[in-house]
Amino acid sequence: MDEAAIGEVIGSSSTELTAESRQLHIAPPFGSFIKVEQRHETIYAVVFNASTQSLDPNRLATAYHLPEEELRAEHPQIFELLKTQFEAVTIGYEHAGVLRHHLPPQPPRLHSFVYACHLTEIRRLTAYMGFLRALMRVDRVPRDELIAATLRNAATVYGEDERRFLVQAGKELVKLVGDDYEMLTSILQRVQS
Amino acid sequence: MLDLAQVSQQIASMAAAQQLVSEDLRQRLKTAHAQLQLESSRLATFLAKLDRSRMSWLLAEIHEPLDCFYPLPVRPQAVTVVATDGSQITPSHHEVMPAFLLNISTIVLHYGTGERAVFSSTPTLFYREEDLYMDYGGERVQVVGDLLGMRRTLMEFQSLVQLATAAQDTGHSPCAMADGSLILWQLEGRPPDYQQTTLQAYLACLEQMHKRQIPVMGYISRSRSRDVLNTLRVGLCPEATPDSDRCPYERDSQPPCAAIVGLTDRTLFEGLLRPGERTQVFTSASRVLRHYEAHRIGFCYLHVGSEVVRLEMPIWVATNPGLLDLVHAVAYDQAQKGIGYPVALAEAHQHAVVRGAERDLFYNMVENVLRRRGVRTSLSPKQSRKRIMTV
Amino acid sequence: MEYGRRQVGVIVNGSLIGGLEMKLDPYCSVEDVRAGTFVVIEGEKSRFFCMVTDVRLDSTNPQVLANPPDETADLMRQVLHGTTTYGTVCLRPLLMTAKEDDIPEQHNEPHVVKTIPAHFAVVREAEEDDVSQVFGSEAYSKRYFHIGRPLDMETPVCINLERFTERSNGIFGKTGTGKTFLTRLVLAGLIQKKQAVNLIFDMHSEYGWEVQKEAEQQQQGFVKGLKQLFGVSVASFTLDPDSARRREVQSDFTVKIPYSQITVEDIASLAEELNLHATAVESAYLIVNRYKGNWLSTLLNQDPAALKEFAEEVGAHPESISALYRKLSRLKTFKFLAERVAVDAVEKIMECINKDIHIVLEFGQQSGFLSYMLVANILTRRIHDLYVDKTERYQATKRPEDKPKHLVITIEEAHKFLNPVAARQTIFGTIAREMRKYYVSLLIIDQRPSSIDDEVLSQVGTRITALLNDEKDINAVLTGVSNASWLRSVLASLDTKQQALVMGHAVPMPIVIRTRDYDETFYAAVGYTPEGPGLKQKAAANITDLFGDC
Repeated sequence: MDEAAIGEVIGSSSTELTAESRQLHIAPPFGSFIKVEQRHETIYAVVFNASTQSLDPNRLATAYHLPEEELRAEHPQIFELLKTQFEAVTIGYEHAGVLRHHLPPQPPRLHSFVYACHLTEIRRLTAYMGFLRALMRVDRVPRDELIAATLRNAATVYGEDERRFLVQAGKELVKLVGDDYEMLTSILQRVQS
Repeated sequence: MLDLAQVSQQIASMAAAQQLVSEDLRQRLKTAHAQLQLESSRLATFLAKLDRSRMSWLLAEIHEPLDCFYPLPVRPQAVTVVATDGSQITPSHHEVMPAFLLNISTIVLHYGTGERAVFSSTPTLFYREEDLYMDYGGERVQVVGDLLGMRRTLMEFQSLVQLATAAQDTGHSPCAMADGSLILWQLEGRPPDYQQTTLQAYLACLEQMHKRQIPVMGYISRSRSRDVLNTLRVGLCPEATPDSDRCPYERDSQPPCAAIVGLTDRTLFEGLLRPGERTQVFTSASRVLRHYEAHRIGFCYLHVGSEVVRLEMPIWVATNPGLLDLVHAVAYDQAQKGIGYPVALAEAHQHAVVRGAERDLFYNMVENVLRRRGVRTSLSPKQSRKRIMTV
Repeated sequence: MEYGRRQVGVIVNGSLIGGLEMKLDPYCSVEDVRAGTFVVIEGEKSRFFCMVTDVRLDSTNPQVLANPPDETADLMRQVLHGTTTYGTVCLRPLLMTAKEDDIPEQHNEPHVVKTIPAHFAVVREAEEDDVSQVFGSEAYSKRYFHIGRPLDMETPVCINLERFTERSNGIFGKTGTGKTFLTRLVLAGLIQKKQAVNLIFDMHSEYGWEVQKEAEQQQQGFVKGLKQLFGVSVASFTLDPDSARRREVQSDFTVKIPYSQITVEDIASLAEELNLHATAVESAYLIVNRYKGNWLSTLLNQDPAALKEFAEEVGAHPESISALYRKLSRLKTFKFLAERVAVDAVEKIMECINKDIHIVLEFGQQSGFLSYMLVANILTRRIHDLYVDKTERYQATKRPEDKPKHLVITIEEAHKFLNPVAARQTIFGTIAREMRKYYVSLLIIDQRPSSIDDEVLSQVGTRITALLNDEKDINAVLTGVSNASWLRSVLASLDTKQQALVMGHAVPMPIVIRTRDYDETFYAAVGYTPEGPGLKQKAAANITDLFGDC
């Protein structure tokens, strides 16, 4: 695998993708921006879930009650039997140099490599607030947590404009959450703390 | 379909019968333990009697008093356990064409260093004439059944040697574990040509290990061997020179040595060994070992906590206190880590095993490829039916 | 404000009668929107000129109001601002123009709104072009006079002097808000633009010559009077030559009024000031019956002991005659009254008017209400009579040279002349009511507009109003203005200095202005150059030519 790659696609659909991390326990952060590079296009997504489990569905992880150092020294096999996966929701794609803020015509190809997005890419992706709508679709994890984490991640690339970006994003959220004032409050509190 | 109501009645009667049996076994065990104490206290006499006796049973060669046990040595902090296992998809005349697949797993576990474990499995498809047939007693026979099993055992052992030597080459101190016996007793009574070629390959492996002083062990869980128990039966015999061919009690319903029949070495030592302890290394009198020469196999019993297991090893391991301690410690440690069964062997099995779905997939692949190539294939009606169940 | 065509919101609601509502853009602060500000709505076919009348806070979600973000939730506040919670600005559309590009701005006259813009029409801050399109520009025509600037802009706001002089006008404001200053500005405009001839009854000697700057202004010093700015175009008359001499100002003519020119009506209109009973006024008429024009001098020359006989002689009640005599004796102290006068002041005034020379009549020490009202009444009545004659002659001959010069008479403390009682007696009430039928109109200066007769007020064409606090005064100023309620808040929120609301005939729409500075720049703009000797001599020569040595 490419050294810069953080994972490989092992499952995909039009709206989501699942990837296996290159290294155990090292998944891209919750709410971070990733991309899948393919021959003709780059698909962009936001990580909304990560998990580590046994490779074999028939074998369950059990507690060893040992510090990790000792676990690695005395039970090296268990680390080979675990894998870390992460799931991401597609927010757009780039084709022929044009960034589009909607779902790609084809889902990411299996076994494509997954990379973390550069700062400049995050800036381009978040310049248009459409990505928030894609995040609103996710229902397997708490939406407020996901959106807040994504905004925190995105805000870091804006430097001095961070506040302006957050306010702009917040105003977009107001449209998306409608009457759900609680939701809005919850997201914004998580963004700031 | 299983009629559980009917089965449950049978299970009840079985439990009742088992209760009677275990009461009887306890009695026999008591007798055996008493005899073991007795013979240990007069070892020279016992050994002389064993020496004189002519028995049809396999008798362990004893070197020390039977109640002499060895405590668990300290495992070196850094040790690399290697293990292999294999599975097969056997050639079947129902299937599309004669071919078999051997899947050999290799496991390398580095302890004490934090290095990553290495798991792999390598499938090999055998389909050539020379793979599918072999010389056997001057005939050309298809490699099936026992012959295939032996082929697999050899491949597993060869892989094990490769792993162990590779580990040693990279600066580790390896300890090799094989699942099952190192004594190829299956060869007894086979045509000499077959026996010879097989042993040659097997012993070459042992020789490589010997040269590099890499300890190797065969780990036998739930062993049914009676080598040691048989010596006690000799001890129980009132005759001065016991001879199984000329037994004066032959017609008795209860000959003297029958008092401990039904026990095994494992049950014998279960009550005597404490967890971690092992017996002395006995030498096996198995006839096939005559060909092993320098690599004659010895064995001992080890209490791993959940059971007493039989460990087999070449004599050059048994007589080297360092290697023997290593085998003792690693076997025990592996069983602890694997909650009763060695981790390395369990993983080897997991990685070697071919599941039903994978097996079907394998045949589908074969079929697809052959069809694409225009090779006519046919499934027997039985096979087709097994794959697609309809109502 | 220097951000060009800045959008401030979009129209979301409204009606032609009730006014429009604009949703304030999220990035504008409610606090930046002020009542009285001039904004422009870009409709599809028309551009609407509006004034901000009210600002309101709104919310789309009652939950937010029930559970407002606390002070520390800064981000939350910023996010909610303009989305869930937003400002609504009420606008009063006042004028509209077609948005066709091929019509030159000068000819695309704004007209009264007859419709409203569609939903989501963009509202932006007004710009210089908008202001000049609505209010005209001095560059377009000399009928436009720059009177000030909008509250938050630097563009001149002009009044249309042609329309201004078509009606009587008022300048209102409570004491100390710059009425005099505004008046001087308007008069200077009228003189400079030659829109009318002015007769100014300058009660406190504030207009002709330089006066001290208003106390609040930082620099000490004097501001120039009209005579100084316009030289020979302005004649300075005085009732008190001693005062003029003391102030070292040159007076062109000293006004003397013979007793014979004082009528009973003049006295009657001063009844209040003189504390005269109706019966006393009645008895005055009896004297007139007997002595005609000499009634007043006859009365005043009576021996006080012989008043009883005099009463019998004229057939009046002795008590009344006695009271009349006592009260009117105060007139004897007025130096400007005389038995006989060499040159008739009214004639002189008419002479000036015919030559387009403006007259400032200073009262000097004679600045009591009594003398002010007396003189103003007598002179105006006679001038008005002359104008009536002239007008009738012109209507008969229709010759342009017979057309009377338009005259604007400026009076201060106007409520004294135009209160409901006096308005029916004095000539000023007549002039105010008949508008410019006879080419005479008034410029009313007052601090208590509520005391002025409603009928007169409703005839006031253009109102320039500085701050008023009294509810009655505010109502009075807004008399006759339709949909006036929104102007009330504007009027009450003016600054005490240099701000005024201009509304009525001379402006297309009401607007709050910062009044133009009356300074060197202004002097230069009206054509004044620091006087050189040549100019001074020329001026002196002209005046001498006109008045002879006096």
